[in-house]
Amino acid sequence: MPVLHGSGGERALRCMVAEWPSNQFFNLAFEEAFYRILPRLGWGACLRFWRNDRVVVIGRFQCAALEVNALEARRLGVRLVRRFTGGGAVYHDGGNLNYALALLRSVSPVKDMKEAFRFLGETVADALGSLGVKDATYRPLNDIEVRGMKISGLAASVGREALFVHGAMLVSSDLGVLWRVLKIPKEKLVDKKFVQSRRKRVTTLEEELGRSVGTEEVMKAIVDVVSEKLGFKPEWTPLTQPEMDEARRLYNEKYCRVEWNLKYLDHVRSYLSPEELEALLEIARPPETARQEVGGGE
Amino acid sequence: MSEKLVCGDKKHAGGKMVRVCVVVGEKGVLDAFVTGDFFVEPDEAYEKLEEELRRVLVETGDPERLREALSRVLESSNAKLHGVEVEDFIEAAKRVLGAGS
Repeated sequence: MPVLHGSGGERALRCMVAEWPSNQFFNLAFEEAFYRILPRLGWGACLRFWRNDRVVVIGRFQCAALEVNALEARRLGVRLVRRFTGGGAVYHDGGNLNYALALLRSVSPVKDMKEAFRFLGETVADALGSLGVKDATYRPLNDIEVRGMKISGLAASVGREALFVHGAMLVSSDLGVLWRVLKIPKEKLVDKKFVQSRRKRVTTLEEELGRSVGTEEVMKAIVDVVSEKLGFKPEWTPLTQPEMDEARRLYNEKYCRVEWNLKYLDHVRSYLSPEELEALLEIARPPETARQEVGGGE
Repeated sequence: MSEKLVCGDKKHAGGKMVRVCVVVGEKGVLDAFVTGDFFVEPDEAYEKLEEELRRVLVETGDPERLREALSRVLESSNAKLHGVEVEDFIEAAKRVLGAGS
């Protein structure tokens, strides 16, 4: 396949901010797009940062109706979108910084999914340490914790040519909304630690540092550690046309569709109340205004 | 209509969760699907796992039969589960079909 772009070569860490916060569906489409397109661009690794407005992002193998309190989500203006990686449901809002790393297998020190989790988990824990967070640690399989409280979760996918791992960092998120829109499985309720204080199971970067934190300093901390660990020089670049083309294709064919976001709905449809069904169908597709905005870049 | 959707959860100790849901009618299991917050490497193997889980539960209604069937899918797809094991799929199915521990 021909290489289309990429000035830094395979030993460069391409970095970008690429975000469409008011269209969470396009944000997730771009997430898959830049990973799929990486082998055509000529960089060895690519790190993306982005933010979302209120949304529950469910894992690839989850059933939305079983994970999300749709009526509460609709009431609070929270959307619902499925990502292409496995793992559990997470809540995003403007107080959340998302990061994603795609690595070409040919130059990557990381060879499989387990190693990808460890690499980015330890990297982000080190970055938090450099920001002044005490006792930030990677906890296998896919958590980053501060004294037992989750501050970031990870998810990953492994392809033939590239590896992908991404995470969501709680910087200043509204944890009250998080607990209202996510359904907690009974199995987790038997977890003593969970029952004791579910709000105490998670923390935010601002709570830990006791001050407001800008996304730029978090991004810089993560870029510094990733580039050091990979031995790749960071290079900030704008997004490319092939990435946008692929993102638009994925958005139109997959991420803006309820068939993708509400997979399994036909299995559970007859067991939902009409109100819950209506709420699910509303939150799982982009609003008209967001659809019109797609096409803009950074 | 006496069809009923029921789900059984199994959380792997220190790991992830598997949820097996079945539609049960007068003639036994009519449909089945599996969801959860686990990972499959590569992701594409999940569809094969789910297809096999559905086939086994609809044809036999016996969660124990999943052990060999799901292990075979993982082996033939050169795939790995992360956060859960095949035994968790079996336990979740047992819980939903009333034979769980």
